[in-house]
Amino acid sequence: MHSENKDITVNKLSQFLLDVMTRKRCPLLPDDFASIDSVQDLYLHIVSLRNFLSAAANGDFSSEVLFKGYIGGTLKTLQANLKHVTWQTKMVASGDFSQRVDFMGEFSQSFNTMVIELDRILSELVKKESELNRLNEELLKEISIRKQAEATILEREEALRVLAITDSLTGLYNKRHFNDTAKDEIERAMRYTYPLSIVIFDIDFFKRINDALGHLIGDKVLKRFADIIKSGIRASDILARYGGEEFIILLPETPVEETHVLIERVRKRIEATTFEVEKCSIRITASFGIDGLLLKKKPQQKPEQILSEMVANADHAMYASKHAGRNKTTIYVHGKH
Amino acid sequence: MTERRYKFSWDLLGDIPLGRPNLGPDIGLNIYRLMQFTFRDVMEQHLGTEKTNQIFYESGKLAGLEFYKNAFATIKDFNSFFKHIQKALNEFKIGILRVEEADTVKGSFVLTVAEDLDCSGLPELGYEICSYDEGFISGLFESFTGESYLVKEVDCWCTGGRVCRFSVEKAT
Repeated sequence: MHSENKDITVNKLSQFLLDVMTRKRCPLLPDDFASIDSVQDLYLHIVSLRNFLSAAANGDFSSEVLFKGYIGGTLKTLQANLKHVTWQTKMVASGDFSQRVDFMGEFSQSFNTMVIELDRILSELVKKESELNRLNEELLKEISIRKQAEATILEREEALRVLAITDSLTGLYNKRHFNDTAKDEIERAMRYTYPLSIVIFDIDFFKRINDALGHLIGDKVLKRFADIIKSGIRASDILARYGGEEFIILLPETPVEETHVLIERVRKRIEATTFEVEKCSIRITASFGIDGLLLKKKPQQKPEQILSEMVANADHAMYASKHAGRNKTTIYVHGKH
Repeated sequence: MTERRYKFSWDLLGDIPLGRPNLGPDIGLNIYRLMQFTFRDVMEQHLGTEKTNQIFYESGKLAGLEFYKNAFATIKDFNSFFKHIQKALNEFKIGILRVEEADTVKGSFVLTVAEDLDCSGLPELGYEICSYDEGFISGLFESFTGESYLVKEVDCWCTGGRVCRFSVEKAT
């Protein structure tokens, strides 16, 4: 009987322990066994083991292993290994590709392969980035060189363009450029019926200055004369050196009367100016002839024809100024000649 | 104490190739343990348990300081520091060092040493035994950081673990 009871107790205990090991919800220790220290210890050990394994299965390796002995020690070793691998993974994430695992069987191999591959890929990327940067720098340099070359070409083109349209001594437009521009202005004036004037003028007795003081001084006088004229006209007016000592101005949208007022101002300024050239003091005068555009021109007359006529008329008027004693301004009167 | 006979210096380790041309530098772990545990025994008899542990800790720390000075070149960061120690402990067969946790800002770490030369394979005694290793690790950390660190073994083969686990904390 006693033996039978013992068997029942043992069976009950075994079943209980199996339940603790296998059931999802951990059964509580029955009162029959709670008073037995060794059973209680065993129960607590298994519960602790359950808790640890459950936490570890969900990635939590921080659970404390509360019991000692072989299983406890082995669990702690497992815990230590997993925590170390976690730390190593963090190191890899921070760029340390020297990390290797050698204590976790197949996982070690996979981990190491992954790290080596990451290292290789990153190194390649770095290399490619470096190469890309180098190429980019070269490209930028090349672009800079080409831009500089382009700027130089543009500068030279501009210089050539300016050279092609200006008079080298006075810096004013040359005759060719004046003619080209004047044709356009005349055409515009004809189209929109704007007034337009042309003035031709030269320095009185300029040949005497050259003969008396030399061509070098003569050139300086011309230059200074051109500067004074330029400062006396408007920005929209087109001033050019038309011949040796002959000059021409086209005044767009300006009737002859207005032109006359402007030119008279200039003429008086020339008259009042003392030219200090190479220790010489020279006073000069200039004679001016003005022609205005006749807006009632025949429609088939080309701008160059009109220009030619106007230049001839203004020239005629200038000579009238000369004949009248020089240092004068004459307006060409249409229909009189 | 004004005069000391046994003040440590690295050259006390001697010229081993010269001294042992046949037997070489290696020795059995059991002989090392024999010496250590007999030291412990006699010290405890004379000085008590606590004092014995203290002496072992301080000796380990001195060893750590000297080891760092003589075995390592300039180490720049914690990662290199761990690698150096790992390599050295492996090379000299002291143990297999691993890092469980490392908070370099707080100065708080958890290290494990597997196959520790002091305790692995020992019977379960119910107490941690690696006080010399505690000091040794403390000496290494102090050498690297310039700051004082307290090291405590929290798991040992002798307490049923299968690795020695050390808690390393910056001393406040």
